[in-house]
Amino acid sequence: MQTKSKRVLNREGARELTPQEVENISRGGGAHTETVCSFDPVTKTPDGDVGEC
Amino acid sequence: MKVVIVAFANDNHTAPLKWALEQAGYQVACWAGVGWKEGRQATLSFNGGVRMVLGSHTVDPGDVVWIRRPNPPLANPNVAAPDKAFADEEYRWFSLSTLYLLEHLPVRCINPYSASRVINNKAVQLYLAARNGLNVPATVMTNAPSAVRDMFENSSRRKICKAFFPHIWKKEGSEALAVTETFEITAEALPDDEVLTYAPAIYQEMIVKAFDVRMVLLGSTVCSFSLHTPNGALDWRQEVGQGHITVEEVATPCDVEGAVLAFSQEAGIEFGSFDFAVDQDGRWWFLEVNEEGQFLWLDEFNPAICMQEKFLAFLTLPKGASREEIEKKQIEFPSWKDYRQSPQKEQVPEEVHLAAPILSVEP
Repeated sequence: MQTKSKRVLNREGARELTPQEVENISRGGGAHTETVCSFDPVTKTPDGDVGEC
Repeated sequence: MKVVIVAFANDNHTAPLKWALEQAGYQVACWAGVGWKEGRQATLSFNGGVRMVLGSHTVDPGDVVWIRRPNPPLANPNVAAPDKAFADEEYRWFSLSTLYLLEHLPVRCINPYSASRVINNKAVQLYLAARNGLNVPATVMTNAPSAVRDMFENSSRRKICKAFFPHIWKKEGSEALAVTETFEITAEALPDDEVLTYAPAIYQEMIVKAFDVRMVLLGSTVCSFSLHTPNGALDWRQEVGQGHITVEEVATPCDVEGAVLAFSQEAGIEFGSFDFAVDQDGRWWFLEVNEEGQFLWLDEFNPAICMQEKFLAFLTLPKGASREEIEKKQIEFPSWKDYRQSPQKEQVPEEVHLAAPILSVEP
């Protein structure tokens, strides 16, 4: 019998980031001056949308 | 008049816009939010009137304050351990005091912090959108399993699930990251009831799209752009990250424009990035608005759009400027492409972001 996942539903729909996106994040989140569209997990803005493009 | 940008100077929108404003002769001050270091300190003085100092900059009457991305307050890590909780809370309240006070000063705030806080709530967005005449997909926000299952049983339309706020998971011992993204879900794929209570979520009827629209609100003007992806992606953000998107200016239907302006007036915002899905019948469906939304990527994919110049014209013109006034003034500013080619972009100061990431580590 297959064991159902106990992870939150949104984790099931989460997308693996591309290597470029991972690199953007590892360089410091919002601290990019060359990318105009980035995930921004580092600044942890309470009301911002870190996945916003 | 100077432009005060509440964000790190090396934020991906702040750096190019600060550069472009300075090229056009404007004075710009950046402040990242309250923190213990000198550049992030703040002072509010009350003595008959009020004086606000952010870092080394005084906020003066007539200034324009763009609350681009205020960072969480940052307390001094050297505070004694028994005082840390107190210090953190004091920093938090002081930060809120500063941000909320801004909109009461004789300055123009884009957007007022109080309006930002409210409109960032997705439930408020959908309510105001529908109330002001925008088409809104049938939606249930819940942590009640019965409500989720009722939605799936009562409608045969396709459904999507999305989060209230993005989150990133990192695999332990690996560089692999996963981010929340809108995804299609069927009744058969729903997990056990208990799992549905692990985290609330947004369940929504899926709009079968002809294309997406990103709309940028600039006061009383809206600029809309169609977004086409090669595979008609459910969420176009991934395609942007990989360069697989076509961006073209598109006319905003009169009823949609009127509804967006009514929505914005009720929400109290002058600026925001709206997302719409346009269905096969040409009907525009409101999905969400981000009042801190990014927009320079539009220029990256279509330089003719000139969003950088339009935004700066909007920022430096008096409140309520018309489309004609914005288009007339935008020629004063250099473009995103100019910034990209400028040697000055290499001279943006390093600023260390010490806040912890919104990140979970998973096995």
